[in-house]
Amino acid sequence: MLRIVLRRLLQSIPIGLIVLVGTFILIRVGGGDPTATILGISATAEQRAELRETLGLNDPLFTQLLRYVGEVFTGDFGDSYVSKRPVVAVLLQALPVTLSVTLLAVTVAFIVGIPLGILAARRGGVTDRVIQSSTVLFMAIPGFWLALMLMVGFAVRLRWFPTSGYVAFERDALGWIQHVTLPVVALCSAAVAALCLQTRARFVDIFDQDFIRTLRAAGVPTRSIVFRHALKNAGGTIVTVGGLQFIGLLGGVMFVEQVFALPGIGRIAVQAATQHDFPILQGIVVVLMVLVVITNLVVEIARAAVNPKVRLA
Amino acid sequence: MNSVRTALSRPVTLVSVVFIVLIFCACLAAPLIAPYSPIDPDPRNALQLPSGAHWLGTDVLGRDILTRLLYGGRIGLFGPVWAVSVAALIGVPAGLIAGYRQGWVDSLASRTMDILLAVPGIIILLTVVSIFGRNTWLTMSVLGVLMSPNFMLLVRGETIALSRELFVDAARASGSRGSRIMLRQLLPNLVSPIIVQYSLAFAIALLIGAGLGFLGLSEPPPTPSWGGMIQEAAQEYGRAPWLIFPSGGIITLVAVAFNLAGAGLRDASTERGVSRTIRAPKQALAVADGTTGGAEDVSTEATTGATGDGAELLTVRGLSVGFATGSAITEVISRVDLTISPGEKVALVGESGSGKSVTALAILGLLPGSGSLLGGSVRFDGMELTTLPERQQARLRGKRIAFISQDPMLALDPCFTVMSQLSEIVRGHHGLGAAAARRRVLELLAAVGLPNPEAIARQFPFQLSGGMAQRVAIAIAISGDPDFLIADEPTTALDVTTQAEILDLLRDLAASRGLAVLLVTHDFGVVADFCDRAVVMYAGQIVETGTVEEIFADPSHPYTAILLQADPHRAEVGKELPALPGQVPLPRDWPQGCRLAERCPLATAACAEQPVELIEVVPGHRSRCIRLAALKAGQHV
Repeated sequence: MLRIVLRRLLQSIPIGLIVLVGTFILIRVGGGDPTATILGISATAEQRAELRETLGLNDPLFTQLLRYVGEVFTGDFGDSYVSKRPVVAVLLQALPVTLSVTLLAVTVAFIVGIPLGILAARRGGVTDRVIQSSTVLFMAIPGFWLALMLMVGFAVRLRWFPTSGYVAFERDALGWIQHVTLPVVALCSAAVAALCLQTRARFVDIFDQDFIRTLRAAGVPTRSIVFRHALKNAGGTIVTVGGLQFIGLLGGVMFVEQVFALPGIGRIAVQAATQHDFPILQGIVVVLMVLVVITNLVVEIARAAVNPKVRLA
Repeated sequence: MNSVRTALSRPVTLVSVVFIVLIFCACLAAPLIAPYSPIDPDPRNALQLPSGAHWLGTDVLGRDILTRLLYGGRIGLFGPVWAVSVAALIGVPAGLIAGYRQGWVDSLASRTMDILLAVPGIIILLTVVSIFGRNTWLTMSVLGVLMSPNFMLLVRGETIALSRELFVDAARASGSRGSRIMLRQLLPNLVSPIIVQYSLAFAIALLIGAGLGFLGLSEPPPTPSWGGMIQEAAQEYGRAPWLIFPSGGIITLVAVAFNLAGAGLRDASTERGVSRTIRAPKQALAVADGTTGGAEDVSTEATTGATGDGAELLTVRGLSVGFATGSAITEVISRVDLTISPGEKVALVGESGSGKSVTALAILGLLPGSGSLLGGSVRFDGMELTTLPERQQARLRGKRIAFISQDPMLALDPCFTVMSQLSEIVRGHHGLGAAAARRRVLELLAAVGLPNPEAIARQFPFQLSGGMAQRVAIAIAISGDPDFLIADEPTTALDVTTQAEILDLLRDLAASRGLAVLLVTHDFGVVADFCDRAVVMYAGQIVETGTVEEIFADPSHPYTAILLQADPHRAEVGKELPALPGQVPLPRDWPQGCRLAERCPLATAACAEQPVELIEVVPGHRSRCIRLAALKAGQHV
């Protein structure tokens, strides 16, 4: 078990490094002269030359690369070109916002998607068709459009929720719930649909298997067959799909944050992209990759927990 | 390409594909069919609701929404087309080469794809836009690269699977070049999965492309894009909430259509989704009150008198079972009669496809999802099982009627230890506490001859050998002290020595516990070894029934006679084993008359004319054959 985790971690280091180097080169080669962004257009040539020297932009690309990678590994992502604040500080401030929305969304996806999938697989008939059709629809609705409709409907018209902004949980728990509810609903709908669909497919598969017949023939009650035996057998698929959905949510949250003006990673990323604030973008690339690695590890551990074949292999 | 045709025969898929084609054509033809200019403002008509002049209303600058949707589709649709095409153009060749060449090429390609999969896609797209500006085609190319692993992994997997198949080996052996094999042999077989992947990936690319437009990172205004139109609408939601619907709606519809088209094609090429989603309509049961097979009842009562004494444990009358395929129901078991007395061991014999396993499952009330009872009665110890509520049937299962299935490696829940699944069952049967249940499980494991119950109990099923797993399955079967055991080919999946051991174990258990057994098998050796009576099935019907001695000494149906001669245990040295030509016909091909006629050496024209009934040969021995005289006269079968 520990070996699996360590191997996964070791595998992700070179991959992460390659992506890091790739984005660095992309930005340095294609991104133009950052001194214009930092100092604004009114800066003189001397000021800019001086800044180039301080930032080490005159060093060979390879030296800059080594320095950058070294700094990243010590937790220093440089300063924002625009606000001049350290990238780490900016990201640490935004991360709780993004994580509360995405973690909540994936939790809702599990809590709602799995029972719906089981229901569709077991009931069949009209229930199954209605659930399946709804999943097709919800996987196709653009998350940001759903977010917009929810905002217009529930925040602007009905005034049940605030239209935008964020309040930290530790400052005002109720306010936090009000601010994240609509974003979470908009964000999780596709993940709910995906988890529901995969759970349904897996349950249909499992209920075709011989061991279910053994259990039924031995008089094991249906409740136990569904929620103990079938659910545990489906567990591996469910956590794998859940992990993939969470990674997907980390992308989708960018758009939803924009709609609700949530000051999370996504909003910062979009702002940075329009302002050519490359240190911020690079920092976000690293943060997201770390989140993906952590997600995959959690999935791996959860899979081993439910499936003895993985655990004992 | 057959699967494409099958897919299009389903209305949902057809409608989706037609919709996709229409949308693409409409957007391509935008300059011809659009009623207004997509760009020129018309401030006098700003923010109008849908009307005859503007079917979908106008935006804040008075531009016609429908026109802008049509023009916007050029980016909205062809951007994703480009992205997914790039992904396919990279992923398909990479997957083909990696899957076919294997070795270092495969490792290199797979590692590269690992890296692409690890890249946080959206943020990379934002970075690219930030560096190179709002160029939809460039952004979509990058998206295509990021999506290429989807194609690569799919094609690689399929290629490896196909390469193991014979035709590629044959091509290799005949000296075809690798590139030729890949293009001529492999690629044509991959067309369906690639199209499926293409349409599913398109839906994703469509949503991402629209998202970028919404963030203002697609084409700069005034060029219309679907995502950009949602953003424009978002700024006017206070004054014109209507505006968010057309653009978001069209994106959703197109994504739905691509998902449905992809899913339809996938179902058509695997055929699995189709048969599984359809459930059999609930059949009204013709309860056995003499309406089913009434004429036969009399003779059956008479014949069973030879072995039974009116106190049968199980009486099956006129049992018919059907399976749903599409909307039609095909009968697979026709009016089966069966009686078993307490402690009696009865064999249900026949080739695969004869319906013996389905009969066993129907008695248990555990027909698979698409199967349903079409009629007949199953009485067990005075209770009518076909009408008994599921809850009460479940109470009988395990405690009165137990079941052992064919493949022990599949029969146990792989996620639970032997102890864990057995103790749950034991507690259910006897209402024991945890400690008492543990003790009982260990006793049971010892009773089925497992050498080290403590150690076995800690194992997971996949850690056991086939013989051990079957013993555990038998322990499960006897855990509720049943009086009737249905064993469906309990030794078929095991090796020969284990077969004999398991059969001995079953014999001992049956003797010591007074178990009645219905043994489903295709092996006459097992029948002779184990059973008192045999029931021979062919094509869903009973063709002969009698005591084992009589059937072996005097087979009274050509089918039994041939099967017995074909049994390797009974073969005479130096004589060729006879074999029945052909296979059991499929249920939909069953003839009106004798179902064996086509394969039977004794068949005459009369055999095919009308259904053949079971007739009594001697008391207790019945056969469904009108050519009995010829068979008895020693004509060669």
